[in-house]
Amino acid sequence: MSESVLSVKDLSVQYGSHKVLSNLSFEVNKGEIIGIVGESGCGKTTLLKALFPKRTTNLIISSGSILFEDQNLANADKKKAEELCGRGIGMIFQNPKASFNPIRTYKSQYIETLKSHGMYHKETFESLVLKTFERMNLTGGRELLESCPYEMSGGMNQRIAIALSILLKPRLLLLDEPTSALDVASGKLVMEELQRIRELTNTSIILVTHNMGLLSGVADKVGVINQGSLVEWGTVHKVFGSPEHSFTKTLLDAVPKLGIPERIEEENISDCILKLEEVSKEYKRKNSPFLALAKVGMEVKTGEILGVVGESGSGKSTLLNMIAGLCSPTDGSVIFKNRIMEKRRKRDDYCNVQMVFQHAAESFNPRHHIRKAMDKTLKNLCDLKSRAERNERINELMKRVDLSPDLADRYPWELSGGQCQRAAIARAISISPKLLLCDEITSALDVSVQKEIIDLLKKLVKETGMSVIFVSHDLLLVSSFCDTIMVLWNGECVEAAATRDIIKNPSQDYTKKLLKTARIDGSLYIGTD
Amino acid sequence: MKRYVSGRLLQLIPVLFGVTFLTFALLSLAPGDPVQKKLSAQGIAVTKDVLLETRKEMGLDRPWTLRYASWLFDLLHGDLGDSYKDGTPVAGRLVKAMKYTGILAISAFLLALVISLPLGIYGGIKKAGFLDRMIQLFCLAGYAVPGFLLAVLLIYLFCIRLKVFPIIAKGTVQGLFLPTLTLALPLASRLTRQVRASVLNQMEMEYVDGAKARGVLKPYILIFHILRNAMISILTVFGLSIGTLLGGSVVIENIFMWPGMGKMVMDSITARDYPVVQGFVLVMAVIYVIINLIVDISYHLLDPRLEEI
Repeated sequence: MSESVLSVKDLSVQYGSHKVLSNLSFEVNKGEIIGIVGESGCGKTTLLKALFPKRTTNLIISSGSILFEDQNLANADKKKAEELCGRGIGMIFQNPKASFNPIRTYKSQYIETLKSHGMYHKETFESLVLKTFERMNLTGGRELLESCPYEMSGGMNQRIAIALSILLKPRLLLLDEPTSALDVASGKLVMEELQRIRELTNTSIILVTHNMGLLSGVADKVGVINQGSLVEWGTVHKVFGSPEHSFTKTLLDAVPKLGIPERIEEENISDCILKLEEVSKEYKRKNSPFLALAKVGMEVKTGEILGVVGESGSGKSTLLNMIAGLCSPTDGSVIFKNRIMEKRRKRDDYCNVQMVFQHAAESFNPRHHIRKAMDKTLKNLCDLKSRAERNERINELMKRVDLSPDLADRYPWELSGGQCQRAAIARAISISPKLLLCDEITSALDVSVQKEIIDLLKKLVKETGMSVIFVSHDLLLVSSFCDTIMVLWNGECVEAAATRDIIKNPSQDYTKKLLKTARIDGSLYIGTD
Repeated sequence: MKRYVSGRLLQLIPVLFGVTFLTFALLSLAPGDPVQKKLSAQGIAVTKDVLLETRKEMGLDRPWTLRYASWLFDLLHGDLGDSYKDGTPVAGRLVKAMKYTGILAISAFLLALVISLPLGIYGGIKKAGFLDRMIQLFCLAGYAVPGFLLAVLLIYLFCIRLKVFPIIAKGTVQGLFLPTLTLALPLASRLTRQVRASVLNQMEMEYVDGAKARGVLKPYILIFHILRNAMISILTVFGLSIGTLLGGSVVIENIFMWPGMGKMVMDSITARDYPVVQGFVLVMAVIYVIINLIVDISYHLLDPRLEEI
């Protein structure tokens, strides 16, 4: 185990003249799984890109060396280095769709990859692949091989990509946030695959992620990167158990912990504001209709934060879209303050219910400044006729979500993910809605930013007394600040109760399973408490 | 698939009805008299009596709606009518002219393909290199120079200066070269642009990086990934360009006196030979619809993401 595969010394990397990484040194031994964590923009993806032999042209290694099996990749001959791609060093990308051409079968892409490395033997190919699939618990071997990537879910794609890298047996495998686009269950499967790769081929693995819960389960060592430098390096136990650097501590603090929110639930929760009566939603499909929601009922009280948890495809987003009026229920009714909300929404309905989306930047018109986007909402729904008045209001709103008012004059793509999400929240609360719908608003952000957004939500609820429905796949996160939790599974409401009851004595098996997964994710922190 | 194709072919009926009706109406409402044209071409002195009599003979004294109805009736019985000018059956003339236009269109299309595919692919791969800039210049020029001007320039160069080709083509193999070149160059520039853009677009896709990261060899990436996926958008433009070729050949055929459909229809319009024009419009509409159908079907063959048809 102690044989060194990769040795990085004083590595500095820059994009053009912009310095991204400075003086990184670490060593990776054979069969080790290394985790790299840090905030977005800290340079962790850049590190992977620098380690990979095929580099993008604008990435410059300004100093230091990357020794991969006695070959210095920092200044190696381009052609020779590229020969290492695949068999020497493999890479799995963040976007699970990125690995394969969506419209060609896995089989053809497996074959061409093996052929490129001179490893294709017609007679043994299929049995070899099927055996690998079997070892990875990928069911439906031959059919899977004949299908195209566009037909598969992200998680499946990621696992099939990993299966291919097992076939290639690289000595080093680089993974760039392989689970960030996947739900918890698929993410766990991918992590299990990684451990299996190590067992089967003794491959060393470098894993970049912001999910420290998942990481703590698989990694041997962890490196923490802050603003381009490696601030902490050591075993998982040491780094996560007794962090030395202050940045590591803040990062760990930001990870949501399983627990009951401090707020006393009964305090200011009074009358029922939103009620769903056995709503169902059916999508018409060619062969059989698809039931996205089946007779779901729920109640939201004034000032309540309701968390809706479920895996991808459980109907969470459909539920929110229905409340927001983006789609209409096939059956049942949505009642807001004792009045049924019609399919065609009135102006009042928009003023009462507002929604914030997962991808904040995409929810703004890319050609409008933030100010213009907010201005329109204020003009149309708030009857603020004078421009000066509206501008003043926008500045005030920006301050309320802890953003500098100057940022309102930027385009959405000029803001960071967290800033943009704040701006989206500011726009949503600009008309003082009674109910705010949040659709996975933090899943694209990293933990420290996530914590800030959650704190902001809590603050706003306290100030305005509005209700919030917060949809997420992360039970840990939801349990950390929601008053009540509703668990969705395959379009059905499995369980809905106060957070305390859900955490302490869940009544349904599915909830117990979710809690178990969440506990494993958070086990590290619970263990060190 | 069978249902889809037969459905699309059924759509031909309203399309053809609309197209022929409109042409008939416009021709009938336009000034000019086929009888007068015919008689004066034959050198007969045109008196009022002769005019009326010939009109009656040719059935042109009836209102145009009735004439359209009887034309339609004949068409359903497989008869495209006879030419006003010399009384020969329209169908026979169309078949003969179609052969020449077909030869011209196919050779121009092939030449355009031979030029545009390598240029477009090279330009896409070696973006912003010296050769790519030259290719872009060629595309720009191809777009900017109108076909008739190009024809005149080519005639000046090859027929008057170099004296290697005849000015008047008349359907000979040697005469095929210049009209083919005139049609192919602008088309090639358009296609090159499209191929280049599609290749560039695909090169930026993440799956290409994925393939490179797996160490897949460059030729595989180029052929099975980039070109394979770029083909989908290239195909539409190719299909539609065949239509443009047939339409564009009207001018070019007249300049080079190539005895194809374009020349025939121009002559017929001048002579107010309505049955021939009607036949031409009918054939063109059928060709357009069928080409579009073929393009749509090959879409589905190339891109499995589209639903089964």
